[in-house]
Amino acid sequence: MFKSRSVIVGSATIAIVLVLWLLVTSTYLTKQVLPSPMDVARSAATIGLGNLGDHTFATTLRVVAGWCLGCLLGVRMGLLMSRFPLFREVTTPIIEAIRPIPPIALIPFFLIWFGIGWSGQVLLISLGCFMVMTINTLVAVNNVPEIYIRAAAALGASRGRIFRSVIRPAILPDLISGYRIAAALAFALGIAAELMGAQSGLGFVIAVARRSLDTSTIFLAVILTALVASVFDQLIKIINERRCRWHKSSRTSIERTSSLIRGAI
Amino acid sequence: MTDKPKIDFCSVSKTFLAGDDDAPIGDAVLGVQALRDTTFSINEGEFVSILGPSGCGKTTVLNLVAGFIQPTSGNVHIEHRNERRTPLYGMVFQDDAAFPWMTVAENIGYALDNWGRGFARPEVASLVEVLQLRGFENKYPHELSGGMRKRVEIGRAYAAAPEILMFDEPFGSLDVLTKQAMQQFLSQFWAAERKTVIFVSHDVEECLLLSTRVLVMSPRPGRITHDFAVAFEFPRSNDLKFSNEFVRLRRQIVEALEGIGITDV
Repeated sequence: MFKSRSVIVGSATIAIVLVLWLLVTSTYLTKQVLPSPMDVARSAATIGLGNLGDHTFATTLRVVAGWCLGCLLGVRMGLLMSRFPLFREVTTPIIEAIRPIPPIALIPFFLIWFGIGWSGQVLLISLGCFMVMTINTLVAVNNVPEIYIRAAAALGASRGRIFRSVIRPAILPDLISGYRIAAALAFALGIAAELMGAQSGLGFVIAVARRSLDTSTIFLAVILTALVASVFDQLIKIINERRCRWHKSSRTSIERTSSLIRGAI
Repeated sequence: MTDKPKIDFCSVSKTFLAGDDDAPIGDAVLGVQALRDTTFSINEGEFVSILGPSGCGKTTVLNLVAGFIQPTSGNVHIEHRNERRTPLYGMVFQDDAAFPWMTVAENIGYALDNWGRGFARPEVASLVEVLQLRGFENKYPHELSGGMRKRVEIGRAYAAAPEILMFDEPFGSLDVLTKQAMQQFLSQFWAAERKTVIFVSHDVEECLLLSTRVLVMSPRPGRITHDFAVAFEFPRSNDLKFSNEFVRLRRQIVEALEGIGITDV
């Protein structure tokens, strides 16, 4: 019941926003400030669906590849750091020195080192995701209740087995939010890198359109980015919730929290 | 029963110092003498309760037996008959310690796996039967009641056939009715095999109902002040609580506790 209601409300919200968009663009705002839905549709037709698909695919591929690589290495790094004190002591200063640097600031260097091909972009994205997931994993390991570790030790588990059978499954629910934050960052970095120098992708489309102030094309690329990013975000959420079926609060937690608050008042 | 005690504490003292590696375990407080000159022994096949106020060092005794910590002075000797093939002890904690990411069957089979016996399906299945958890093998802990989760923990601690079972206020967080049911369950469970048990509690009635011996421990620094034999026949029912002998013994223990300055156990 909750589910179907939220679907109806969600669809209604989208419909209202579309109508508002249509209204403001046909009355107050000029095309340069905010293009109308028709303008956007027109530029989509001009560029061609096939072409648009290619650019969308190029961006998605780089972002997903960078995200996968970064998350994989980041989680691994966080686990290694939490498992081996000496390794942690050696790597912490390096991580802490690199972490505050916005990866976007490094784009010029990445262009010099790797050119404007896909490899530099993928590496930039994975650097961003790596940092997010390293920290996220460390925090998640810290949050594992001590009782589970003590119980496992009391049941004869070796250090390695405690890591495999307790730490790794226990941190999964905490990692989901990290994965999603990393995915949002990955799209931001992907588009930014393409803006600065690329030969394909939605960021490249924006960069070209900007030169002729073609705002409807820019807006079209923005909408496509948003669509792909939100589909990817939902995929991450669904897949991980399936992996954490054992976790009682993995589903409808916001609904439960808000209904509890209502009950309290 | 053999003549040689299974567990032998010979004037054992334990002081936790700030900066000790083993300090944070259990309810120990830094810079405080947890145990002072404690001497007692437990024979094979005894169900021994250690009764005392919170923070009197009861958990310290369990941690010493488990080898989690070492005595500051004195000697702890434990007969481990079969060091290669069976664990020395299994432990049941007060807090919920069933792994939430494992099913009931996986939880119960966990220690078997640790002891290199693979995931022993028939052993787990027969334990599931004894624990009255049939039909719940593939459920996750959050889908069970508090009493069922405790039974899972008892089964998990017992599965690898440890030589000693240790309970650290196991029913402290259960409601009264569930607690009574669990006491009945544990009593029958123990009577079938008569394993050596150390049971830490601050509930006089519970200790009397379950044990063959009750040791009374003084407040910090803890030491054993009284040693009561509890000779009631097994199986014991809840009605035992109303028998004259039970009430008399109970009064003796309460008086002993008052004698060492404890009035609100």
